[in-house]
Amino acid sequence: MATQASDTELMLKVKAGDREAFTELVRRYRKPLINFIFRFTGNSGEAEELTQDVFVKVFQSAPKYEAKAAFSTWLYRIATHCALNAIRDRKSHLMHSIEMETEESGKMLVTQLADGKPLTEEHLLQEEKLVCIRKAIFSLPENQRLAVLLMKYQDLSLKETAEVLKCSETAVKSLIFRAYATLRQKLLVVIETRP
Amino acid sequence: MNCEEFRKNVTPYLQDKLSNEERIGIDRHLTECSLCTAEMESLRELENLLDQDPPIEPSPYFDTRLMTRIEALEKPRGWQSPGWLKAAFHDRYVWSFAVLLITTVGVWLGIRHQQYRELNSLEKVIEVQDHYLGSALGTQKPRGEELPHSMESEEQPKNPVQVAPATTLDEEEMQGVDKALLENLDLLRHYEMLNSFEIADQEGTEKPGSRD
Repeated sequence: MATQASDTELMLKVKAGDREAFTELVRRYRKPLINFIFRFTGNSGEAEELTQDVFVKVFQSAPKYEAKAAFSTWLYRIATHCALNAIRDRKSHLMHSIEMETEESGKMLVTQLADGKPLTEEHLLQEEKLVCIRKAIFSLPENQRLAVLLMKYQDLSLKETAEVLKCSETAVKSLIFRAYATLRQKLLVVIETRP
Repeated sequence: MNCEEFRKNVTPYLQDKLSNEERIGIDRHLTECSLCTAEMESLRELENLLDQDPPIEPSPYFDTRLMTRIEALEKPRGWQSPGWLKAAFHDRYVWSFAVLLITTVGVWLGIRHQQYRELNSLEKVIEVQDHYLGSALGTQKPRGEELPHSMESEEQPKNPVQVAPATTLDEEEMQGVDKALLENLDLLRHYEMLNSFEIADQEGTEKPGSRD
């Protein structure tokens, strides 16, 4: 029954002290939040810690929760604040984190292939493409990056994205337009070399 | 819709995030503008490329760690929690602090006791000196020195012969007086002189002493 309840209904149950409802919300949003924060900060380990911080804040704020906006909007606003604080605290380390992440994933790929499967050019190209995509997204200014991640990867609507970023829908469209212009320029080589 | 408006709306259009009215406007413009059609195809390729970034999976202990944090929030902490005393009893940091505290208090008490003993000793010396200065030297103070206020006696000795019963400090009077202290105190530098001063005994005899 809990799986059919809406996010807002679940959150109101959490407000009333229902621990099962909170567990269900965690189950629904842990993966999207981890990926959102990971793509924004560039660090998967940090993304898990920050996601936990977000859920702890949700739990602590439950007594004051009011269903004025969609639950997802409220949740991503908390996540955005957490991620922005983290990125501003460790600004000089995050690009290094992206490089570390890609180096680790590259090593993991080699390990898997060392189990017996032959190393193919396709695997290496795929890995390299992934690195380029993540670096290109990470190179965007914070507000453009947030707009792209919320709309593209978190599948929020224009209205919801505008509410999270506390701006107008026109402003969100403008952010997306500039972000995609930058991404296209940076990923042009990758797009052109696709088979 | 013009080309500039088209460019601002094409990405949400590709993501199916536009309203019906806006979508109709885009479709109409595409039939009229080949440049914008090419632009849209280019952006569609970019969208497909971005879709190739796979999501990462949460670690298997994510839920466990989160619930541990949540439970810690709900548990009363500190002295309000039941069994806090037992927990403190087993805490090595609590024990270390207790030992440090006891040691510090013990050292402080020891120092205070030592200071009290020295003060007591000093007071006795002063008392003895005062006695002999008053009786043997009268009101005359040693040259270059100021006696402590407690040693200044306003009483004039009536008669040196009549006051002091003994010539030197006997063992009883020396009890509690720290000789090392006596040697180091400026105001008692004449102690040796005083010590050698023979006070008139009952028969009134007096032996000369040495002075600085």
